[in-house]
Order: sequence, then C-alpha cells, then structure tokens
Amino acid sequence: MGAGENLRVLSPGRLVATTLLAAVVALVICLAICQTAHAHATLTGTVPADGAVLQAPPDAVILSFNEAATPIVASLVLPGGNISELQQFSTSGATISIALPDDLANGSYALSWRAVSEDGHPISGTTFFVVGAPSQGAAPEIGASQTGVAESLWIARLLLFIGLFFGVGGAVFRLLADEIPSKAASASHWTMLAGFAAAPAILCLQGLDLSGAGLSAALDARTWSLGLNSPYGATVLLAVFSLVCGLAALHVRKNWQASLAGGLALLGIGFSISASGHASAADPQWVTRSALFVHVTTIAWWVGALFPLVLLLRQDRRTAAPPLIRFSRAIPFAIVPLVASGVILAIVQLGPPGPAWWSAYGQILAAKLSLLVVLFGIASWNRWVLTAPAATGEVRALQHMRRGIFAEIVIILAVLGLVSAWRFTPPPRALAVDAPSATEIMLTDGTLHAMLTLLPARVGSVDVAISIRTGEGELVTPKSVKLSLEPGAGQIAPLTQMAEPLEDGNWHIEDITIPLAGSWLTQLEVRVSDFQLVKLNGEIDIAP
Amino acid sequence: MKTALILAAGAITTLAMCAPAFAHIVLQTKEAQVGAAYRAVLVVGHGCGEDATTGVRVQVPEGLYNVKPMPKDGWTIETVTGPYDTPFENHGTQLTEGVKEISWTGGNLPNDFFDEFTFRGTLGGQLEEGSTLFFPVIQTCGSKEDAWIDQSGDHDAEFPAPAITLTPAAGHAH
Repeated sequence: MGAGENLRVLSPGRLVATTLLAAVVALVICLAICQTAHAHATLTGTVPADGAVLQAPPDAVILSFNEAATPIVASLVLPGGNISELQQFSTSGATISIALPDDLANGSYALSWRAVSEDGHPISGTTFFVVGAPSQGAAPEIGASQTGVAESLWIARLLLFIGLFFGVGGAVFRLLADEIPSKAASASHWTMLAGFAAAPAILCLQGLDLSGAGLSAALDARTWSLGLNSPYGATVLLAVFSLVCGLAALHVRKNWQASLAGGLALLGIGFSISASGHASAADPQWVTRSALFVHVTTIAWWVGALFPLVLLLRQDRRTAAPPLIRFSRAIPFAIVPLVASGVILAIVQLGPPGPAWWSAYGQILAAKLSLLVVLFGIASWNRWVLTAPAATGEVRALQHMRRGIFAEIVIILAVLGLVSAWRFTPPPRALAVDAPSATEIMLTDGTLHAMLTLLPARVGSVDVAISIRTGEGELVTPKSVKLSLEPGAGQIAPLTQMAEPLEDGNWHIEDITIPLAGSWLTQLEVRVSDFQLVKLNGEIDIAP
Repeated sequence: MKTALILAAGAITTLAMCAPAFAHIVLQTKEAQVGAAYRAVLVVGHGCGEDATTGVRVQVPEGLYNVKPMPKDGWTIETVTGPYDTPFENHGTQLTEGVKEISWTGGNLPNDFFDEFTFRGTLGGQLEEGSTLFFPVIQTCGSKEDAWIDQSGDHDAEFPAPAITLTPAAGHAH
C-alpha cells in the first residue's frame, strides 16, 4: 500500500487521544440531534382487559404502553379460527387504538398485535376477550418472527459487524503501520464489501421482522420503508458511511487523507451502533450512548489491528517491530475505556439483581464475559510477555504471538456472533417492567373502566397511573379522581389520595406509601360531573 | 378529680361518636310519600372544615316536579330549568320541564352556626315506593368546595348525598 518512507505516522498515544477527542465532540453533536427519549416500550394495559367477558362487542381495543409505540399490524382471530386483518389504527401518546369490525358475533376473540417501540424493536402480544359466552376450542397462537427472518437477520448483522470491526478497523490500522501487508489490505477490503452487502439485507430483514411477515414479502415496498424508518435505518446508513470512509482510508495515497478517512470511519462505527439497539434506548441516554460509542470505536481500533499484525509477524521482523511496538503502547489507552464503557453498559442493562439476570440476555452476556476472560488473558500474555522478545525478533515469541493473536480473532468472531443475537433478547432492565413489580388492575362498573398501574406494586413508595375510559374506549375527563386503598385484613385505615390530571387526559398519583403487603381493597372515586360520582372497586395484591 | 376526668372522657367519646351525624349535610325530613308534596329542608350544620359556607347548590332528582325554592334573606337564589325525563300530569296540564337545580349564593354562614335551605316540590306517582331519592349538594366555602354527591349508600362514605326514602302513596297501602 502507498505508504512512503517520509510519511509521518501519528504516535499511538496521540492517535488514541485524537480519536477520543473527536469522539467526544461528535457525541455532543449526536446528543444535540437526538430529540426524544427512546425506550423499549412495554404493554401496561388493554381495554377491554385481557380475558374480559363483554355484553356487547367493543368498537376498538386500546393498548396502553409505558412509552410511545407505533402500531404495525393487528389481526383478530375470530371464534371459528379464521383470521381477520385489522387496518384501522389510531395513536395518541402511549396508547394505540385498534378499530374492530362491526357486528362481531358472540364468541371468543384473540387480538394479536405488533407494534414498534421507539428503539426500533418490535413488540407484540395477544389479548383475549369474549362477547356474550365463550366459544369452544382454543384460539391458535400467532405472533413471533416468521421462520428464517430472525436467522437471516443474525447472519446479516454478524457480517456487518465483521465488515465494520475487521474491515474498517483493518483500514484504520494503516495509520499505525508504515505498510499494511497486502493480504491484510485485501482482507480488510473484502470484509468491508461483505458489510456493504449486509447493509441492505439488514434493512429488508428488519422491515420483515417489524411487520412479522415472512421472507416472501422481502420485495414489498412497505417492508423496506419500515426497515429504513426504524432506528436501524440510521444504523445501516451510518454503517455504510463508515464503510465508504474505511475503503477510502485503505486506498487513498496520501497519509493525511488516510488519517482523515480513517478517523471519520471510526466515528461512523460509533454513531452507527449507538443509533439503535437496547443500549441506545436505556436511560440515562447520554451515559449509555456515550458508553456504547466509546465501546465500539475502541473495539474497532483494537480488533482491526489483529489480522494485519498476524501477517506482519510472518514477514520480516524489521517491518513488523515498529507497528507492533506502537500497537502495544497504545492498546492500554483503548482497553481501559473499552472495559469501563462495557461495565457501565452491563450495569445499566442488567438492572438490579433478580431473576431477569438469568434471561436469554443475561446468558448471552455471561457467555460473552467468559470469552472475554480468555481473550484478555491471551492479549495480556501477548502484551506483557511476548511483545518485548518478539520486537527483537525472537522466533519462538513471534510464533506464540501469531498463534495468540489468531486465537484472539477466533474468540472475537464468537463474541460478535453472540452480540448479534442480543437483538432478539430484551435486556433485564426491560424485563423488569414486565415483572410483578408493576401491576395493573382494571376497575369497572360496566360503563366506566379505570386502568390502574402501580409501579412498583410492593410495600413502600408507589406511583399510580390511572386511565379512565368509557366502555367504548373513549378517554373520560372527570373533574376529580380519588384513590382509596384499604388493607383486606383491615389492619389500618384506608389510605386516600387525590390524583393529579396529566396533559394527555390520564391521571397519576406520585408517591403514595403502602405500608403492608397483601391484598388491598381498592376504590377509585371518579367525579364524572359536578353532581355525579362513580365509585369503582377492586382488589390489588401488594408484594412485600 | 378522677370522676371529673372520667366524665370528661365519656363526654368527649359521646361527642366523637355523635359527630358523624352533625358532620353531614342532610334533609330534615328523610321520608316522603310517593305522589305527595315534599318540603325539602337542607340542613347545613357546618362549613367546609372550619371555613364559612358561601354557597349551596342542589340537584333536583328526577321525579320531583314543580319545584320552588323559598326566598332566603341574605342569599341570592338562582335556578336552572330543564326537561323532565317523564312529564308530570298536574291536574290535567302536562309539565314537561321545570327546576332541575337550585343555588343559594352570596351569603355567609360561619362554621359555628347552622342554617336551613328550603324548597318544595311534588313527588311523581310513578316513583317506586321503598326506593331512595338522592339530592346531591355542592357546598362552597370561598374557594373551597365539598361535594356531597356520593350516592353509593356506603355507611362510611365521607360525603354522602342527602337522601329520602319513599313511602307508599296515601290510600294505597291500606
């Protein structure tokens, strides 16, 4: 490659420092651009309630989420088992209303829905209701990704990761070495091209996964627009930008051009991966996005150097020594932020210890961590035992180091395979919202439905969200709402608190203290108009 | 001394037990005959907490016709009229609308005094004997408001609506 004798190569420390500075500047820009809070939305309630038996068919099913969500598809399983696609949705804030067909006959219905939360992940669920009397026979289960879509998406993501980390990272290594071995350059070139090929495939597969359609719908315009408009659209476009810069960094003649293109390529990787995904959606976002940014840029910098190093070590030791020494001096500057950001992300994503740690997400993380222990073991051995003798050209040290780095590459590929599968597993912090800590209860007198969400439904300080609707699902705006909670065993007097109205027409109570675990009689006094008071009663279980 | 203390304690307990009866806005006459005239006297025995009452608003229940409030010194009376759900046969003429709401405003009734707010009407013959007729009241005390509109019949309701029980029409049960 065209690196001449008189080319100035940035010192490793300065290169890392420059990259980090650029990353910080870029992050500030990114944070200024990102407007809304993205999160993994979780269903908090439905009207009619799941399993409700209704006298008359409802006009619509209303889904309430903890965060804004956009409906994609919904289908109604009719009592006979036939499926009717529903097309009419309306969204207001964190609620989705799905219009039902007129003249629903008596029987059991299952409404299956799929929506996309702001972090771009599809969420789906099924709610059951009965009109008149239940019909015989179980409703078929629908939902989940179609065969082949999830697997293809995993492969495409893995390819893109390889293209970004090995391809772009390999091109960036040029900034450290006077000369990249031609095999390393062509490996970098081809992995980047593989990343290019994966990019549109990810858009398409993401669209398919969001709509729940099979691979046969791959050519539908709707599939592509869904994929492009999801947060993964931004990820893919930025990845393509990074790949273009990476190719430029690899092939331009002048060194300053290569530095510029390489720097942009690294930034592109950081922005691309922190634009979507679980970690990008976690709060506080400025922490998680920054951590993810640092994490992936340092990984690219480290991982990209490995393959060229293996090849350099095979060559003449005089050309291998300078870049090896530079790399080994710089690597601690990359590893420290890499590990620190990884620890921050793991802490945020895992949430407090609990059964959610044993979810699929937790298992993948555990597998990744065990691989990392081996990886860092090998890397440390390379760095502190082998580098010095290898730099002086000791044959056995060079041999061990080549094998060690080769093992590192294999382990990193396995880690990339693992993290590509994270796309399909909600992190424990999102699962925690599903856990019994948040409990919802529907209070109704037949004409008025109140959905109460207690967060968390356990002893201590509790927030209560209240949504009051008519039987037709229309939001009611009462004059006042009062909640009374009385322990079922009558140990203490009822707790009462007035709810505060929210701008979106719902009500909330912040911080009511529930002193005892067990069953609590719950009463909601809704002052519908000046002279009309409706009392809704129910019971709620409070965990210790 | 000891006796005095016990007596005092007993008196306080008795007062505390009686308190709920005084603490509500009620109708003086709690029973009325179906098809007969009814003189409704709302007894306001206290303010909103310690605050003086400055307004009383009552909703006339469906089934009470031809309602007229009694003038009251120091208070401005206003009525809201509206259509009856079931028209009323008044000696051959059909009444389709009448007073649905009465308000007394502009007065000042300190918490330490009580007062009565009176109106009359005729109970329709179609009303079901034994049933309860509610007269929801909103008591205002300056910017405060207590809404005596709870029609649940719960014994421990904090703000029950004043109510009467309907007795059989004259000559009907004999």
